Amino acid sequence: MKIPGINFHWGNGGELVAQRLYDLSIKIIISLPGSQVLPIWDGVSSRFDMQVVVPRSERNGAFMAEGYGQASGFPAVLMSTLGPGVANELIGVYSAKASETPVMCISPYHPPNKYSRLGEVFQGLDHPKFFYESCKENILIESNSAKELLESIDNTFATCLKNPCGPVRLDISFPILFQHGFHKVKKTAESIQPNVPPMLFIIKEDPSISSLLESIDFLNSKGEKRVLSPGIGQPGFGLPFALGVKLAYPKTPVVLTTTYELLMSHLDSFAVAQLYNLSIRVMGKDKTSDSIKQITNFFGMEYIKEPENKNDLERKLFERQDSLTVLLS
Amino acid sequence: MNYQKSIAIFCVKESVHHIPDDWVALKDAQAAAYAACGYTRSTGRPSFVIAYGLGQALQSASAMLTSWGDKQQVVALNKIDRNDFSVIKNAYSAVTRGSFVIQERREISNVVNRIREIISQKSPIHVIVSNAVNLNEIVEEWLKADGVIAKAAQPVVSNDTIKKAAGILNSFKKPVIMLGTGAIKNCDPSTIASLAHKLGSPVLLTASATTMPHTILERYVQTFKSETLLIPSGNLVWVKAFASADGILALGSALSEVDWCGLKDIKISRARIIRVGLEEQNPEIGYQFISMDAECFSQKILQELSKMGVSGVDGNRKRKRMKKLEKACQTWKKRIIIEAKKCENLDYIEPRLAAYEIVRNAPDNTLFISEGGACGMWLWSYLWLRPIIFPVQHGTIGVPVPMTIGAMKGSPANIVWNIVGDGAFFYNARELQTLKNSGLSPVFFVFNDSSWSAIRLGQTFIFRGRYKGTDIQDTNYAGLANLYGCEGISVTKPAELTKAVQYAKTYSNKIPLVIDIKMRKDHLPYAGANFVLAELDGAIKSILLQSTLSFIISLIKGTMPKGTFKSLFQIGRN
Repeated sequence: MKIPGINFHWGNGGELVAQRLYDLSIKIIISLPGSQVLPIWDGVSSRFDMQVVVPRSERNGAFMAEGYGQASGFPAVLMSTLGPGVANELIGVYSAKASETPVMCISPYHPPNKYSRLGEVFQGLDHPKFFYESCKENILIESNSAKELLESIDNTFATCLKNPCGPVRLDISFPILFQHGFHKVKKTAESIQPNVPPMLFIIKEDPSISSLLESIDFLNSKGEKRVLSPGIGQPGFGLPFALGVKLAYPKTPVVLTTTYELLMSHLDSFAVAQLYNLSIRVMGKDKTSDSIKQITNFFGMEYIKEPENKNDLERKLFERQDSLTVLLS
Repeated sequence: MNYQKSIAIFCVKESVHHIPDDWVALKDAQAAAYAACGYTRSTGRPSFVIAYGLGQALQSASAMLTSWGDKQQVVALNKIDRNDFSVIKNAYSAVTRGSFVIQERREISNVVNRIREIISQKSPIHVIVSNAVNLNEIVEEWLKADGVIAKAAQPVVSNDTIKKAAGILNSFKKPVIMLGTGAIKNCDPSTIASLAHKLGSPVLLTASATTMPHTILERYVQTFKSETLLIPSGNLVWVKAFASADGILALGSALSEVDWCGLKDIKISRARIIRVGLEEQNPEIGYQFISMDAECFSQKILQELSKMGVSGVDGNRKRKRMKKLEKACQTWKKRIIIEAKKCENLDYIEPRLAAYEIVRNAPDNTLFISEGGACGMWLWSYLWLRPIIFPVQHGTIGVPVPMTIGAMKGSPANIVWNIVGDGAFFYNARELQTLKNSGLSPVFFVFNDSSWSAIRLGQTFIFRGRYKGTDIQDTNYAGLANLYGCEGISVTKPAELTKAVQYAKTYSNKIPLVIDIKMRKDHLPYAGANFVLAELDGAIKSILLQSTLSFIISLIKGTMPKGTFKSLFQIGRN
């Protein structure tokens, strides 16, 4: 039943969360499956056209969310199951805080009657304590009030976008997500538009960025290039971060500069790219490198030799706008 | 004092220019923390994990949760900038039980002594080390006393308390002894066996205790061969004995949810509980707590029972019960084998056949490692009192590869076989390279059904088979192993599986072996109900109706392979 500005909704708490995220124009939920998040997953799948992207680890999922948020200025939702799932997000969430990137981190949490014995509770972890200084704010929902739940989601959205931006965590006592009810949903949240993308995103994992890439001048009518990097300041997470940027702007070229060693640490990101039809091209100086060819063949990715002059490089970068190019140094 | 020789130190390769021979270097800090945990789980000895800088410390914190849950003696040394002290202290306060800061060299000795005093009771432990302090000096200080750790102080308990407790225990008609990790570390198995015999009680290992270090497990298995019944967690016999008990003596057990205790929505046992331990947890569950070392308590109770003239299970009606339980154990073991063998002539591989083949062919000195998820539950279904490393309290996934590194460091004479799921395989797959470079040859059996199986079960039984996001693309894990320089084999049929397992049995190449076992989706392990109920406790009443509907729909649609429920029924009828 629809009244302008007000909807009536029958369903469980998970569906309510999904509805609200849809109202906020959230496009991407980066989430690894867990029993307690299933109601939200089910809510997203059965009604709305939001993309659920499943990474192969929560840690890399968090960096994908950071890449997405940093590129677009609009938050992705990062959703993991409680306890160990959420714990794996820690470094990525901290990285988003360091880079002042908006991310909505939503997770189920233990019911209040378990707080006093988290050491004996299955998957027990004190989320607010664990993330205390690693995110912009922690919000906790314990009651089963739909009104409070919706307000908290709005609050999480608004807070993560308020300057300085940053990741905001919302913990929802998970029984609420499974409880059915009839809710009046007042649409109060205003959404925002994502950033206009540049012509090219460059993600620097390896500080020794190719001088050829740097010399490309995009200011002559083609538009700017934007250089991004994870806030944590240590190499190792460039590829999932770059995937997040690509998810935000599938049609804008993205280049990641990295090393072979770091690439080997993130083969799971290739698997994620394969699953979501995100094209990755690996560009290196030595075309005959067997080990790199093995990897690209295994994942059905392209391997090409890095061009020797900037015009050819520029052409290569833009000939496949949908592609994420990994430039090996 | 408990005398512990040597320690193991795990760190990140890139951070240490010259890695001492004793240290084990991995590719990232989270893996290093899991490796430390694997070492401690396999040996029962403390281990150290070192992180340099904020990023590594944060990664390590994520992994420390698993050690915290199962109270493993891991010490996290985080060498970080003063500006980062606060964020690290907060994060680690949630995943450790002891915390120290070393800002100057002169503080090292005190802190190390304090760690020695408390680690057996409060673990894991976290130490923030300022950049001004040399980590090697901390290690040397620990080794000065050859890594000696203190036994916890013994509380004094009155004779009256012991007498009353003995009287209560003797009055139980269907007693069980629930043995937890707090007791197995300190108890002599023969004391426990004698007490169980005297009370006419089986001994139920908690889920954590079932994963005790193999050296301790061997002693228990030997002792209980002729004495009385020792039942590991993860089978119906355990649950029935627990549920039907009128009295529970919980020795060194925290009565956690994975042991069916403290659940809010379901109460499996109405038994009266006497809990013996050194630390009182929140007494929500309702038990009588006696603050005492389990070994001391057991001996005193034995003396008291003897004074009371209690003859034990011989000539006692409790003998009938014990015989019934023994028969139930034999029947359980027989039935799961029958169910596995039914799958030998299929043209695809059922996970129960895979688990059965792996366990029965594993050499005697095999250490099993697994993770939370359906693969781990299948391993639990077919293991009976064999050493397993498993993250019980958190059901963590993605841990086997790094834990293998630690386990093999701690138990080099053992063979290590892993059962892992395809979903979480990528978490720490990069450490296969570390294993390869170390010349180690563990075996990884990947249960590859191209799905997040355990979660998919939730979608089947709660969400009427709406499978969103739980499919994984078909991946050749044997080929992936090759990318890391390891050996890989793919199998799709039972005959191929048998051949691959035989190959694994005699495998001696100095690189890891990955056996990719392709299976169909949608299967239901015989073990794991305790984890599922614990996971959803608080919401079970809400989902009861919809899960009943889902169950009926799954039967009608045939979502589960034919025979799954029939198989479960066969196993269940004891």
